[in-house]
Amino acid sequence: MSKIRKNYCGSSEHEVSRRQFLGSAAGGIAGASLLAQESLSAELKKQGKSVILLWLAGGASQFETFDPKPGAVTGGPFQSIQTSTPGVRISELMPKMAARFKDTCVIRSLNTRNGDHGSASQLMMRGRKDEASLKYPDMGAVLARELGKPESQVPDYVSFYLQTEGRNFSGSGFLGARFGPMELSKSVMPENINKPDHISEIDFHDRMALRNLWSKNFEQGRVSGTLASHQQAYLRVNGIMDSQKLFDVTKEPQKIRNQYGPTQFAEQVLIARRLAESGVPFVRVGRAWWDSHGQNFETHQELVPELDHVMATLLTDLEDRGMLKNTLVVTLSEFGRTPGINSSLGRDHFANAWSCSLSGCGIKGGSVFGKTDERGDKVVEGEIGAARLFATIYKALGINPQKNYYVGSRPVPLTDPGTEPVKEVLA
Amino acid sequence: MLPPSTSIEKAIDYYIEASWKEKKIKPAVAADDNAWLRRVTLDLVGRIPTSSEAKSFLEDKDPAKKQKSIEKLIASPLHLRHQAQEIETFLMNGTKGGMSEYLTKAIAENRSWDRIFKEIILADESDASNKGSSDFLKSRVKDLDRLTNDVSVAFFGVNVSCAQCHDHPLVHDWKQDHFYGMKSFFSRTYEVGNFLAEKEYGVVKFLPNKGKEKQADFMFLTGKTVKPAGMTEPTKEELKKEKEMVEEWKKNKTQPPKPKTSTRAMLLELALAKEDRDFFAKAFVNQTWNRFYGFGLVMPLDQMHSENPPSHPELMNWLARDFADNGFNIPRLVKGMVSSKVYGLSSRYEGESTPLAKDFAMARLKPLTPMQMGVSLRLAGQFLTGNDQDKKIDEISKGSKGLADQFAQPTEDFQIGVTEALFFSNSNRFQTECLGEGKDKLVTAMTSLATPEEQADLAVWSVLSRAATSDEKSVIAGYLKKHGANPQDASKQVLWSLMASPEFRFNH
Repeated sequence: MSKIRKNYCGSSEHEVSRRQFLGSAAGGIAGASLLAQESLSAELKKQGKSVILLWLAGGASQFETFDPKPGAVTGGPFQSIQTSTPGVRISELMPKMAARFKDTCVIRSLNTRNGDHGSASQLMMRGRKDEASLKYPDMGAVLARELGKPESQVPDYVSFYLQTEGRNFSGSGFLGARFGPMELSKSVMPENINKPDHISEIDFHDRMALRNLWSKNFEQGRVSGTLASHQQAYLRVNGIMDSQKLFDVTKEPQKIRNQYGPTQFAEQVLIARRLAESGVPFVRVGRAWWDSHGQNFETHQELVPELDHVMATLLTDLEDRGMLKNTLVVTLSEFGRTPGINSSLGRDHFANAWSCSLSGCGIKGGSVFGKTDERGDKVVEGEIGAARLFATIYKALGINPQKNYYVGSRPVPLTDPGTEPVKEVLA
Repeated sequence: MLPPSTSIEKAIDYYIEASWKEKKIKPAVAADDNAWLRRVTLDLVGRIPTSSEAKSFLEDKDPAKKQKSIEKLIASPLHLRHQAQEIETFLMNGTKGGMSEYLTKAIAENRSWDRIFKEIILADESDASNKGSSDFLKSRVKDLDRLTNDVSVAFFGVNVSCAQCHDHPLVHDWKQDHFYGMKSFFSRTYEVGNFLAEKEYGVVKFLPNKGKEKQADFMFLTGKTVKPAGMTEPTKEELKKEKEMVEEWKKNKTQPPKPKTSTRAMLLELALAKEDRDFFAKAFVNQTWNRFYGFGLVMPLDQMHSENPPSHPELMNWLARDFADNGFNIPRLVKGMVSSKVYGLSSRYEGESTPLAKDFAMARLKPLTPMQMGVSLRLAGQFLTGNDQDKKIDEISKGSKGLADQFAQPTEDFQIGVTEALFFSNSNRFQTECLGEGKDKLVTAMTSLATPEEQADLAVWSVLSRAATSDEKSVIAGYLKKHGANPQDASKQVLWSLMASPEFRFNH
């Protein structure tokens, strides 16, 4: 916690950088100006990169997924199976991922110390805790900012979250509405994305042209970043509306739809792939109901095979399309589940030793990082928290985790000062 | 420094003009009458002027018409509501709570800023006229760190959160002692059911980044300290008794009694002492200046400290002294701020090198707040006639919250997202609330006019509060003719284009 604030100040020595930041926003060419600050090769590395986050809301059990402990008192009824990497075993509920483990790195050593759904979700979406007076942007907003283009004709942060459990913790924080998520909470089709029936295509186009004329007149002799963002927003309308076809899963060949399967989660992940393919830098697909305080094993017996199938299908599909080297697939929850099995045969919240996985872009596939003890009570090797996980994700995408944003004159790095990515996880 | 007898607007113009001279800056020209009226109406009553208000102001030949408009706007009930909303936003933004009940009353009764500050910090609702005043503390009391910082930011323009974990690396003013010193004043406050209570004892201990754990002094930002009673831990016996009392209060749902010494009251004494009330006065002056001029004399607003001086130190000192000496009178300050020539400059700069925001040599574009957007959009879609316009405007204003909620609260370096443009373009809500047809509706009034030129004129007057230029008139008339097959739809499209324009989106 204390680390977050190391760089705080209101000193005038940051004014130059701040103006560079504002200036770039004002010109509506944020990308170009920031490019000058970073090396060209670093910038090129980021091009065309996307992240698909499979968010297992409620907290998936590491024992029934990536860190099985068969035979231990905490292990539960399921066995482990051999993956395509010799010596690495995962839960028998994940045979398909076991078979195509080559692109995936499992991290078994998360200790995030927060077992409360609300604040842990925020922590795992932002990589740190908000301050009293500073709301941090989440991973999606940061990646929208880093990987998206200002003039992009597709959304740059899409979040599917149709279930009711564990919503409302994402957000763009101090980055503001420009980088906020397009939230799909009622249907898989975004709100206000379709042209209403009461206006024809031609009229829609004509009235926009009229608006743009007023805008051009007004901009004479006036410079402001907010003004530029307003114009930018309207210039993106047609492209975003056009991207509605990306959200229409029926546009996908039946063969591919069959591969993913008929479930809601599978369809959303397929849509996520369509979005990533068209240049959307960040898509989150929320899959709820992992919070198995009772009947943990039945719950996981139902949910894990679906996850296994969809995740393996997604990775194969991305690979077939040549997208996997540029697409990072993250499976993450707000926390894991207790080693102890309670009297309702459930597992409760547990944040001291749990797992997540990273696959594809920039990741050392077929590997495992970190280790828990025999019963899964604690991390014995490679312990990391949310900050290092985020630094690793950013680094895998070619983004410097210590790059600064400016809030007022205060520099705020993407991850807490001094946070190192986990190099063993990176390709 | 200019003498205290100088008027606020004269002092503003004097200091700002002096800085232009020194930096050889050529300011923008004065805004035209319509731009000025739109600006001041949005700033004081939170809505655009109606077409009839805009027209009659333009025609008014009285040389004192601006001053008269300001007086009239400030005296209107809408001003009180808007003023209360603005203060509520900066006090409560980011919390789930509101405090409109208390603020509406306090502003309506013209309570001074120091009185409002006292009532919020004392949070004593036993006096019915202070009902709702405890909402500021209540919405934060579960998180004392946040409460400490929010009080410092809202009332003193100082963000001390950095000093929670370490002495400020670059700002020598702020040490951990200051953060925990400020926190001490609130550390005895806690919630009992729906009420706030304050203990008779309690201190804050913290672990400095160097050395052993230490006990914080009750220290104000100036470094001054006080020593209240109750600096020792209570005995087990006392704690047991207290626990029983709390249970009793909870059960009976009663307001716990006031403590003999309130440390929050002690903070008030320190903060408002004549020699140290500068923090308090300057923070509000800066906040208010930022609201009307779109950029604080000190930026960021929560970084008022010695390493980050105001752009115009003498003006800041003069305004703070004036505000304090005149009893922290809010309307007086507001009126002075919007009466200056600097306030009335054009937002367009014709010269070569555009001046910086901190030069105040041109008006800054201010994105409309959610409420300004909601009310103004709904009002723009109306064509009000007859004598009861004020009443109708009041009704429109009261019914605008839902539409307002579609927009984001502007922040520093505010960026407008595509969601807003999609809402304008495709939502039913926008179509229904802003472009409806029928009695008192602009679409209907427009289509009843004989010529496209007259229609264009009415559209621009109603939405942009000014006359259309001849170019605009011919473009709009051309559009209406081209789309003449369905006049209602054509009118709606024209109005849409004006409402979605930046000229509408900003207070300029």
